[in-house]
Amino acid sequence: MNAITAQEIREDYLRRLDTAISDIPHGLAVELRSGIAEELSSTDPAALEARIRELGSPDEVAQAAIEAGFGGQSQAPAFTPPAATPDPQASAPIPPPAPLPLTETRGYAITSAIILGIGGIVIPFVGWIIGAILVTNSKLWSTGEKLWAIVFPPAATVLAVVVGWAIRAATAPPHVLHPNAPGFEGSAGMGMNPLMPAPFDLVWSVVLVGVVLAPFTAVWLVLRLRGRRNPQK
Amino acid sequence: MIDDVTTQLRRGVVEYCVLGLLAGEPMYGWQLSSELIERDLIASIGTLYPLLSRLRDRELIVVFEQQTESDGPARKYYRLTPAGEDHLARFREQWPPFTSTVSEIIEKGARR
Repeated sequence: MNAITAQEIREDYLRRLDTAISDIPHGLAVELRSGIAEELSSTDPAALEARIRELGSPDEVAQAAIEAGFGGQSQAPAFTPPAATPDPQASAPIPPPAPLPLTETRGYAITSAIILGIGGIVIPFVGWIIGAILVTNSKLWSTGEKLWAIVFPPAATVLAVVVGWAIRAATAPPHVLHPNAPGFEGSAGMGMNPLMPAPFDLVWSVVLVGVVLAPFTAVWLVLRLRGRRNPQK
Repeated sequence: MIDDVTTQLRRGVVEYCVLGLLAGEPMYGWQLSSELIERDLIASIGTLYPLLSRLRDRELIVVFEQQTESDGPARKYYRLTPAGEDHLARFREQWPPFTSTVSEIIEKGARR
């Protein structure tokens, strides 16, 4: 019983609204009617009536729209109320809104951040590169944020390797640095040529990027997404 | 009661207020109108839709459908386009010096 009563209340309001907005250009009237119909979906008559009180009478709503002006729609044909149907939302013939592109969704952004964070651990180098490409395509981070997330790990790694090499070169004993010096031996294999990165440096670099820096930047990217739904420049 | 002066002022800035609200998150029509009515910037939801229509014509906002609750109907949400963000950013730059200038002028007149 209550559901039927709520539907009667809704249909009565929309019928009066259709009459009130009959002089408004079609596109605007359809959008206005659709937006109001969305708010009248409650099946509770009391809640429905409370919402209608907040909306104001159809005449007041229509008058407010007329006073606000129609912009470029002043020459458009006037609104023709749709035929009465049980579902007011189905009767609104407005053009379907464009679907949100995948790269503008939060799901895509979070997934790309996760792949950036752990892709390098699962598939060294290639996994991280895939994550970097996905992050680059997401529209929910700014160009600066994406640059920071992608450039920082390898740049920090290169810096760490250079600093490590410089320290090692500065503190290495002479016989290590000069092949002709007495005592120069290559038995240890490490630090034989301080001008080339040692295997330890390369391994350490991979660990630094894959295990520490990449997940850190991924977490930072996800935190930047908080409350963000609009594309960033 | 909204007088003519306040009405004119509101008409001048309400579209930027809509852009400002949408900069925070996409919103549907009732959500936007509630925020604006609560702040006394519009009197009725009827005022909002012509404004939204103009903003869409200027490609400052776009509309998309999204389901709000798992068993609820889909609603039409509005969100900013990059052009809308630029437009809002330019207004943000211009608003403080504008209000400062107006305040200075009208205060001078009051002191005479």
